[in-house]
Amino acid sequence: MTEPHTKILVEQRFPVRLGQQVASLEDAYRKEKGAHWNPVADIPWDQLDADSLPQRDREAARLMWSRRLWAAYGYLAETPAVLIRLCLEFGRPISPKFFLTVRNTQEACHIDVLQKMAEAYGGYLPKPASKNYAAILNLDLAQRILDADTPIDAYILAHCAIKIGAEAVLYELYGTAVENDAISTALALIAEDKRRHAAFGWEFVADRLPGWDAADREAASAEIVRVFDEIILSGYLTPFCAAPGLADDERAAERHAASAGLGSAGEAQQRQALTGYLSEVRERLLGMSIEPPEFAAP
Amino acid sequence: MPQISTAKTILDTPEDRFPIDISNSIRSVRDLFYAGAKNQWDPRNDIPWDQFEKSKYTEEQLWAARNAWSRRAWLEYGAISESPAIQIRFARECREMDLGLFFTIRSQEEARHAEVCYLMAEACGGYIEAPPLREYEGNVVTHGVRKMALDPDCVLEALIAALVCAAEEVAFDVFKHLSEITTDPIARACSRGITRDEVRHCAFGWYYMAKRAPLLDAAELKQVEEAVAVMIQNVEMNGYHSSWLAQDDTEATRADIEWDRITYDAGLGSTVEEVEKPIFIASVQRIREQMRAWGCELPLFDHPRTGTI
Repeated sequence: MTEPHTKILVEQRFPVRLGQQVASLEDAYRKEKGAHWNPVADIPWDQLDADSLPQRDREAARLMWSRRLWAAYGYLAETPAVLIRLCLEFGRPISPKFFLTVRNTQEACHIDVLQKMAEAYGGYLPKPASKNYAAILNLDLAQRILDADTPIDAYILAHCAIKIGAEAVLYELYGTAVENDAISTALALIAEDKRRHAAFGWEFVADRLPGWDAADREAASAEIVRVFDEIILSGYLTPFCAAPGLADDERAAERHAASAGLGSAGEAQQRQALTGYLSEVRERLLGMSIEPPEFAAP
Repeated sequence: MPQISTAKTILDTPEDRFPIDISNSIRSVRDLFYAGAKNQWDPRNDIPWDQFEKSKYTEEQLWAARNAWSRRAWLEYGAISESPAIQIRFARECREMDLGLFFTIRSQEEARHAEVCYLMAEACGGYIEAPPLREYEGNVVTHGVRKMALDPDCVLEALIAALVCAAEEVAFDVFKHLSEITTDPIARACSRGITRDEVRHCAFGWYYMAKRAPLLDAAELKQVEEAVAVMIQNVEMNGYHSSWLAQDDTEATRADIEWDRITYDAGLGSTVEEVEKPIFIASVQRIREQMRAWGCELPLFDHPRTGTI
């Protein structure tokens, strides 16, 4: 049987519009450029003091940071795919494209930090113990983004605004009960980046929304349902949302790290934070005349 | 209706990201990523645009410079439209993670370069969104990197060698040369900023190929040779970076060469055949020599203006 081929738009390069077209997105790009940081110099690594911890703490922390890297790694393909897709779509403004290049550098910094953390606690782990959990993490988003049948505006709303917003909420929460300066600095930097990235997603959609028809809104709804089901509530972002048996080791590691103050949060707190966030998202979507998905509390 | 390609691509097989192996690291490439993250600059804030003395130049000189810098902006834009596909390729093939990390900052720097070229064109009177004479579009529209990156039959190392060790090496030499000959301080600052970033881009390619070339078999090395030869003969020697190398004798090409001459004479950031030719020839010779270390032997290249290189 012949493999189905991804349908990719053919670029019409000219005219190359590089002037400002959307003030809010230009502003987002300017802020993004000014927010750069350095994973080597801007985190007080000498204060991490991982070697002094009991073995059980170290084991939990190395799995927790490794798991976060497995999820963050997806951005090394996802963000360039969104960038390319916007370049293939004729007539899109330049600021979102420029913005995405900066965003991806910051995502690379996150990965570098997550790796350093995992290594400090005893060594990075290259894959989950469960093949089924690995399957949850293999989302194949680059393929979906570049496929011409995927509505890219809907994708950006669901993933760049809502999904990344959920990450911002979680990273912020993880930092609330941490006393170690290296961990709290790392989590704060990541959370702040994610907040700006999510804000960009909403700004992007706000610019597009006046041109949307009913079909565009339906497409957005469908993509949001997919993000809720396959990412936010699947265990991709946090293992406590995974089905029982899928990510038990990772879940136990997060629980232990939370109790030891190593950069996680209790499940009740995570549930409350995510439920609150998703309720806010629902309200915001209703205000945009987009049918929000129903969801059960994680 | 937009055109759609259904060519076979690396995206046709599902993602399998595990194991995400970081033990196979290329430390030199990771250090380039750190250097890029540390040495960021902002074209809007770090170039003293208010000191550009536009009144020193004639209308003709400013028009020529607008064309030169706009043309350069189109090329840099091509790097953000096409080269990020290489990141997808790195991830799909579970290559060393350092490559993906470095390429993020590389794409950001290409965006920065597009922005600084755009701003310089604006300073000269206004950025131009497309070649005034449409037949010139073919010379600058694409180097084919996105297609190569997504093509499962194209060896990744061939792509890196062609794009980075050949095209970017030529680009680096062009910008270094422009930094030396451009007299206008603002135009020179733009060229210097780009040159500083391009140093890392080129280093990436050579570091990576130094590791990978010994692991390639004869057929793969042949692909590397062929991809580099195509990039030099069909892209660079067709006017991609330097208009005087364009081989079509059209009104558009003649106009572009003339605008470059006027911009060069004004010191606003272009070069001309008689000044750049020895630099381009040296670039090609150096690339050929350095690739011999991989076991590659590039063919001789012919061009009516350079002779055989």
